[in-house]
Amino acid sequence: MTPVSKALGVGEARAVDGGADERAEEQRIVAGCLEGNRQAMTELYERYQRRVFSLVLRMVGSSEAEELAQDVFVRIFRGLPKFRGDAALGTWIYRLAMNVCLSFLAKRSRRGQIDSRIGQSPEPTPPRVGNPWLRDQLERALAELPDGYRAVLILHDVEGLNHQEIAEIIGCRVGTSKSQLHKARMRMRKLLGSELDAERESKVIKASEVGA
Amino acid sequence: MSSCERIEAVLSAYHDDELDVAESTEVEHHLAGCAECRRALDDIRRLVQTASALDGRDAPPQLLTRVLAASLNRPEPPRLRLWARRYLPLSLAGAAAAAVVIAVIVVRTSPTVEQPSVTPAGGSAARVVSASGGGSASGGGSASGIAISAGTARGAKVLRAAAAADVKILAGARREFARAEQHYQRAVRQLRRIIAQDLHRWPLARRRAYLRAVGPMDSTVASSQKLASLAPADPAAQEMLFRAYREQLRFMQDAILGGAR
Repeated sequence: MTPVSKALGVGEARAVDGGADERAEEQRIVAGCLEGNRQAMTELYERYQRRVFSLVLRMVGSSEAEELAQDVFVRIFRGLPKFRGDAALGTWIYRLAMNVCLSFLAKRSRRGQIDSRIGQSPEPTPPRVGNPWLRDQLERALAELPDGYRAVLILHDVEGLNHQEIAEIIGCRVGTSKSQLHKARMRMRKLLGSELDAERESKVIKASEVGA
Repeated sequence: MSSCERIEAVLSAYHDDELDVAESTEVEHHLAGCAECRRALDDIRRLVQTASALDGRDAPPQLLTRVLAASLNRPEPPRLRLWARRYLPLSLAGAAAAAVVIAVIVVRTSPTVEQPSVTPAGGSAARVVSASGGGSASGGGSASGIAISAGTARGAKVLRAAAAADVKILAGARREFARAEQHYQRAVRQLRRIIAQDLHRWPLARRRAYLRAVGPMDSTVASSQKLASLAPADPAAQEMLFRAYREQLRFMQDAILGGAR
């Protein structure tokens, strides 16, 4: 697991894919879904809704997230008969979700619409530093990344997947995933230059106050 | 390429511990003497730490209801070839939607008639197409049968409008979709009118059940409409919308037939 893995992302997914009990549980749920069992479908939904919704929200923005997340789950339930278990269920679900997002974004860009988040002035908050503040700035900067960069950065750094998994999800080579991630991080560094500087300076000031 | 540029190109991989020993050693030597590259590495580290600490967001609570409504109790339509799905005259589905309305009117106006088991409109249209291998004439024909037996001017009018759309395959998929949607919407409006007239006569429990379910059903259709409007010529999006209409029609039809019992 990469250092950025966290319980919400891959930790959970690997727990699901990892243990034999978990795999059996997952197979039971999938079998129930294939029979159209409402309880099983609810269980599968509950297992993945947070991961799917967070991914969709960050990829396309809040105004479209709900509709697209619904589309993703409807496709999951319709597509389950075709799920052969070659990939982990979590990876398969991520792939489906990412496909829905990327084709939506491609259509949006063909129509010349822009993401409503871009260009919005940030909330008029007093200048603050620290992790919560930087997190907000990072969410805003994510929306400004090109779609391909954003996809890889979310999957790797936010969701904690490795390059092999990302390559399977996006349908690219491992090397491409690595180079896209590097470019995405460099672009983020540029977008967040002043915020990163402000946070660094605040740490230096704090450290000097503690020293004094 | 300057040594800083060379190092910066592998800094991300260095951070993720993906370099071999020789490469890592080279990066470390460079970092020891270069404040600018140390700063870049520090930025990457903080970016990654911050990204990994972003919170996940739960989907809105109503989403589960909508997902289940859109996924359950819906027979998988026969798989058609891509070209067939793209160019299938979808007005057929509209004609079948009209047939549902007529069938409901028949049952409602003639209590002695045995209640027909009405299949979801588009499903039956698709089956008509796949079984006959051809088309629009069979769709119109099956609907005509119902109309004649119904013998209602109202039903015949709906049917004529639907059958007119069957006459030939329209040039653009987009126009086809729009036309089919009009038929669905007309069918929905008619059933809605019937329900509005009858609702006060239904038993309380059934009335409540209907009123509870109608909102989520309408919002499923509304969100499908929104999705379809984003991709007006995309067969998949349109198919999803038409499925939502069919589900809505079936729901209303069940409510009417149940309410009449």
